[in-house]
Amino acid sequence: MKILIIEDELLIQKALKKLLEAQGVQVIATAQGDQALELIKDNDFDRIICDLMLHDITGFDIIEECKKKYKYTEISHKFMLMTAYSSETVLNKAREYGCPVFTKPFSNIHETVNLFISGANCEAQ
Amino acid sequence: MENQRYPVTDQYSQFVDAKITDGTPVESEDRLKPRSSRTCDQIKKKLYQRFELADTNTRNVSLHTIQSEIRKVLKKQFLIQRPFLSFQTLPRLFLQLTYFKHFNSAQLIIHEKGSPFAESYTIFKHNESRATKIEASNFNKVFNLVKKSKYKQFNQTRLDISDIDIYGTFLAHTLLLQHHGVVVIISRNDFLPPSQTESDVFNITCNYLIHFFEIALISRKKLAIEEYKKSLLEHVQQNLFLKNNFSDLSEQHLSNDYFHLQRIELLGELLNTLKHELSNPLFGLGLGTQLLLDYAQDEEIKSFIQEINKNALRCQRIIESFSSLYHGQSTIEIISLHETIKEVQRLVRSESKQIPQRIIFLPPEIQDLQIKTNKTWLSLILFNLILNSCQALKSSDREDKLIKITVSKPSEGLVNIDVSDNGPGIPQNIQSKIFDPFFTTKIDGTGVGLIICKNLASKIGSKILFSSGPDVDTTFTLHLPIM
Repeated sequence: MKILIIEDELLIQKALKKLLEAQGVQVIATAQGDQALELIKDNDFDRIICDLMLHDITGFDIIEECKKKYKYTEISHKFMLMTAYSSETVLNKAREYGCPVFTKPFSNIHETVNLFISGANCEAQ
Repeated sequence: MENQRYPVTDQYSQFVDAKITDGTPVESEDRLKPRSSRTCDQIKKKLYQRFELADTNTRNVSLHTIQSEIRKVLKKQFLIQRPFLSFQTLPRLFLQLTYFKHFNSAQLIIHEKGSPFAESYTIFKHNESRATKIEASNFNKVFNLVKKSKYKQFNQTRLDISDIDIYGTFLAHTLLLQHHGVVVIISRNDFLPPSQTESDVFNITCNYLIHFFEIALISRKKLAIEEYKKSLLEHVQQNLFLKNNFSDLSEQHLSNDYFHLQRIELLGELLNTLKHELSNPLFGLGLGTQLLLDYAQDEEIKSFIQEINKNALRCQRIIESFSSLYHGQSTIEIISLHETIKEVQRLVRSESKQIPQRIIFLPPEIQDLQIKTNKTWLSLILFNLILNSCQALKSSDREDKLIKITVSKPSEGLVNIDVSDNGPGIPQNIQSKIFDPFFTTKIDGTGVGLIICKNLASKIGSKILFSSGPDVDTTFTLHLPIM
């Protein structure tokens, strides 16, 4: 399984990568939006764990770009969004794309990581 | 020249021979004056002498005497009877000074710089009064005219303003305060020109009262601001975090307080932003520690990492508690009383470090009691009461400090939550004031905690009562009706 992590907070990026790799998953991580889009173009990821607020771009912008490559159903299965902002507007927008949103910080890290791998089909916390 | 036409002449004689600094009688100046005016003066003198004053002490009017009399009248009439001065009755001050006893009306016109209107208050001798508004342009006309005339009489027809109360002889003065312009006019209902003494005394009085006017105007403004703040407090519940010092009455400080209050209202938004800003680093901490825990072999290292993790979780919970305190507005929900109290205790943990707290349920079975109420507001009330107890106990040097939170059920539909401490207690003489807005005994206190509690209590249909005294615990009881 190949997972892409797009997160600009380095500690979170590295720790998540390590936790996922411990489960036997291949992980590529990046902090840059343009690099992420490049990677998505050149690779076929099973999951894209994407933070909503990045330095240069938002998670939603990335999804919009990915619509060129993937269909709607694929997007809603591949993308898992993370955010510190748990407002209704954010959640509603994520619903539009059909993606689950995880609010930072996670209450149960191992469980959530497993959800990343197995694929959550609803909004998880 | 009969008495009736000049009714004031008997009083007038007081000023005839009086001079401000020394008692030089008018008589000695007679010889220096030209013949015609001497005749006039002689007639005047004869007239005045007919009504010789009985009390010779008032012949010599010194500055000190004037000032002490003003103070006497002020104290008696204005400062004892009401805490805040009413400008409507202030002109009476002039009519009550012995020097102006025969003046019939006094008018005070106050104009705040920048205002389109000036307020005018006139008091007539027989207690009639008149309050009216004068346009700023007219006020300025009067002000400038009085000033230009150097406080001597001028032809009042030049004024042509209906609201100026000048009847016959008058004395006028202008005062320039920090933010206000003031014109004072006193009138006598006759046409005897005012004596030099009267005029001097009047000018001295007006100048002496500048400081008093300033204070009166500031108190009036302070009262208006407090009324505004009070009305704000009634509508904004989240002001628990106000930190301000209202004891300084200077106007600059008052404006600062007012703007601070506005800033505090933005605190909720700040709290939100704070929560989001802290989420990322806290998440990082949680993830990092989880990873380390997964890989650590050494038991000692593991236990340290767990402590780090616990602290990160504690930070998270504190932020969550504060956020829910702020956001949970009018939701009524079923809550566990025990859990709620424990949550509040978590929030006051650092304030209550050395002070043990005990939660008591009477009877013990009601520990699992669930009640239907607004969790946010109940938490805020308990938070404030427990915080007050903590602060009271900080100043005590008892060995056995204790805060007790007792939950009891006196009847089927009622729950009592007592927060009590064995601190120094609330002194008898201030017990009636503790729920007053802005009343505080703490150096950096805001005086708003208990009034907010009172408001919130009524919002959840409950009451707060307290009992305190020397050698007994201070207990605040929340009487909460439940479904």
